[in-house]
Amino acid sequence: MKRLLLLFVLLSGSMKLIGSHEVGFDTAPYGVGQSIIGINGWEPRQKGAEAKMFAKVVNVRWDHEKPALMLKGVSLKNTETRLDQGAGELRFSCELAFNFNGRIAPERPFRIAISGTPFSEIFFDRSEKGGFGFAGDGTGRSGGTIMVPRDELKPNSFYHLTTAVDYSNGTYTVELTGTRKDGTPLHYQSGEQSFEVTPAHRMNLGQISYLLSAQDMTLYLRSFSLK
Amino acid sequence: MKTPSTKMKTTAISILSLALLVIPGFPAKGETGKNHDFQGNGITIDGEFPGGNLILTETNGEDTFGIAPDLRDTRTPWFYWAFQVKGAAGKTLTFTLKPEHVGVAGPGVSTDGGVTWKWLGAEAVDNGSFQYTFPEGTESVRFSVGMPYQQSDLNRFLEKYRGKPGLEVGTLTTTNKGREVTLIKIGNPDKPNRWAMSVTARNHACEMMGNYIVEGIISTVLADNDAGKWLRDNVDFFIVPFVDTDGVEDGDQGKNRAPHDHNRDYGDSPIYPEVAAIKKQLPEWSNNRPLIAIDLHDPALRNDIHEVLSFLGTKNEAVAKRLDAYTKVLGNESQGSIICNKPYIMKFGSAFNRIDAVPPLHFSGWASTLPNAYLNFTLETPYANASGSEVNADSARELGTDLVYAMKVWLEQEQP
Repeated sequence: MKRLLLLFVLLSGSMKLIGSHEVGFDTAPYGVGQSIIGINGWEPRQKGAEAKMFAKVVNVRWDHEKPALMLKGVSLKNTETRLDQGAGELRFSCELAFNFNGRIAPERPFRIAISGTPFSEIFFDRSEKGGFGFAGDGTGRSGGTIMVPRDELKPNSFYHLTTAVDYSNGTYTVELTGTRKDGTPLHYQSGEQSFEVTPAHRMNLGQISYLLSAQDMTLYLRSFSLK
Repeated sequence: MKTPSTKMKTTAISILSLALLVIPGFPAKGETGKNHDFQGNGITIDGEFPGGNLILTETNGEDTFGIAPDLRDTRTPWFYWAFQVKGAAGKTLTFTLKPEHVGVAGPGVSTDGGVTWKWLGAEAVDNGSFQYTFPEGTESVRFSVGMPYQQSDLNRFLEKYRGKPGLEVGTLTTTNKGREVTLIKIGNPDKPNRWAMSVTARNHACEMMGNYIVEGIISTVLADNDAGKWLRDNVDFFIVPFVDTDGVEDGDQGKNRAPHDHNRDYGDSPIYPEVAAIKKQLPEWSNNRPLIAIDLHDPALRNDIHEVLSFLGTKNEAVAKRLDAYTKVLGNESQGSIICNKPYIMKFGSAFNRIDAVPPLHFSGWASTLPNAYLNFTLETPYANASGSEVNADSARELGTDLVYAMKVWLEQEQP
C-alpha cells in the first residue's frame, strides 16, 4: 500500500483530462525525428536537454522503416485524469520491442509502472533467471512473474502486451504475444489473478500516473494505450 | 547454467578426451595424411575449400578428432581454423581443440557449404571439445572458429546489385599469387561528392566478421530510401573488402605473418602489392576531399577488451575529437542488435592501441597522416560477443547499417 502511494506521489506531474490515452506515434502531434518530450504530457524524469535526444520517434530500420518511439537510457513520466473513473476497469496495452546486452546494471533496465494497478510494474529483468515479467515489488529490483525467460527473448522484435484490471471483481489478467528468439510464436496468458481492492486503488483510478523507463538499453514503442 | 543432460554430455566428452591421451599407440586407426585431412570409416575431414585451415592432431579413426589451427607463416600463436566433414550423416563425432582456439559462443557451423553460419553455442563446448550430431541427409558440414566469409560470398552479395547506378565493382590490383583484389566504388555517377569515405577489411586475413559489416554498409548506401539517396549524393565510397585476398582465400591466419602482416605494411616500402595500391590509389581517389577511413578488424577470441566493440582512436587530435562526436551520434542513432548506445573509444596510447611507429605502419595510423584526413578509426568487432550482444552475420550487417546511417546524421551536422 505504502509503495503504491509513494509511486503515485512520485509520478504525479502535469495533468490532463482525457478519457483514454491511445498513441500510435506515427501520427500528429508526433513526428519522425522529433522528441516526444513536451507532447501530450510526456516528461523526462531526469533533468537535462539530452533526454530529448533519447526519446524520439524514429523509422525503425529493422521493421521496414515503420515509425516507433525509441528510448535510450531515459525514463519518462506522464499523468492523466480519467473522466470515467467510475467504470472500475483499466486496460493497458502496448506494442514494444527492446534490445539489451545483458552486462550492465541496473538489473531491471526496462520498467512500465502504472499507478493504481495491482501488479505495480511490468519489467525486463536481465539477470540469469530473469526475463520479461510483471508484478514486481514496485522498486524495480525484485519479485514478480516471468512471462518469457531472458534467453528466449528475441531482441528487436515487437511484443504485444495487454493488461486488464477489473476493480469490481478484484481480478486482473496479463497477456503477451510475439516471437521467441528461436522464431517460434509466443503466447503467454497469466490467467485471472485475484487481488484485494484497496481505497488507494480506487483513488488512483481517478488520476493515472505512469512511468516508462529504459536504462542502458534500447526500447521501441509502436503503440501505447491506456483506457 | 548447464542442464543435467548437458553436464552428462560434457563429462562424456572430457572422459573421451582423456582417453585419447592415454590409449597406447593412439591413433589406433585411420589416416591423418599430411595432418591436414582424414579419410576413413566413410568420413572425410579436410580444409580443401576457400578459407579452409586445419591441422588434424590426432584421431581414434572413428569418431574423435583433434583439431588445431594451421599457423603457416604466422609467428605467434593464433586461432583461425575452418574444416569440413563429409560422409558423417547420422553420426555423432567429437572434436577436441585447445580451449583458447574456441570462441565464447562455440564454433561456427554451416550446413550449406559456408553460405550461412550459426554459433553452436557455448553450452556445447567443454574445455575446447564439442560434439556434433550430423543431420540425416547432410552431405557436408563446415566448422570454424568464426563465420568465414570468402570472395564467393561477396560475389553472391554483389550480384543482387548488378547494374545499380553508382556502383562500380573493379580491381584494386593483383596479388602476388595472381588473384584480383576487389575494389568497390559507390557514389554519384554524375559528379564527385563532397565527402570521401574508405572502408577496408581483412588487413588481417582471418578477421572475417568485418565483411558482414561491409555488406551492411553497402546495402544501406544502395538502399532505395532517403538515407541511401543522401549517402549516394554526398559521399563517395572506396571499399576494399579483402585487403589480404590471398590470405583470405588460402585460409591463412594473416595476423602476425612473417616478415610482417598487411596491417604493419603501410610504412615507406610496402611489400604487399595490395597495400602499395591502397597507399597510391586512395589519396588520388579522395583528391583532397575530407576523407573518412574505417578499417575493420576483429580482436582476440575472449575476455576483457576482446568482448567489447571498440573504436580505436588515432594520434591525430583533431581526428580523435571527431571520433568522439561521431560515436556520440552513433550511440543515439544505432538500432541494430549489437548495442552501441555508449560506444567504447580506445584512446590512442591505451590498451592495445599503442602502435606508434613513424611513419605509421598500420592502415589507420597511415590514413590519419594524410593531409585530408577528417575522421578515421579502426573498429574492433568481437567475433561472437560484444558486451553481451551476440555478434553473428546478421547482427554484424546491422552494425554496418548503424555505422553508415550514423555517418549520414553526423555529416549532415558537419561543415568541412
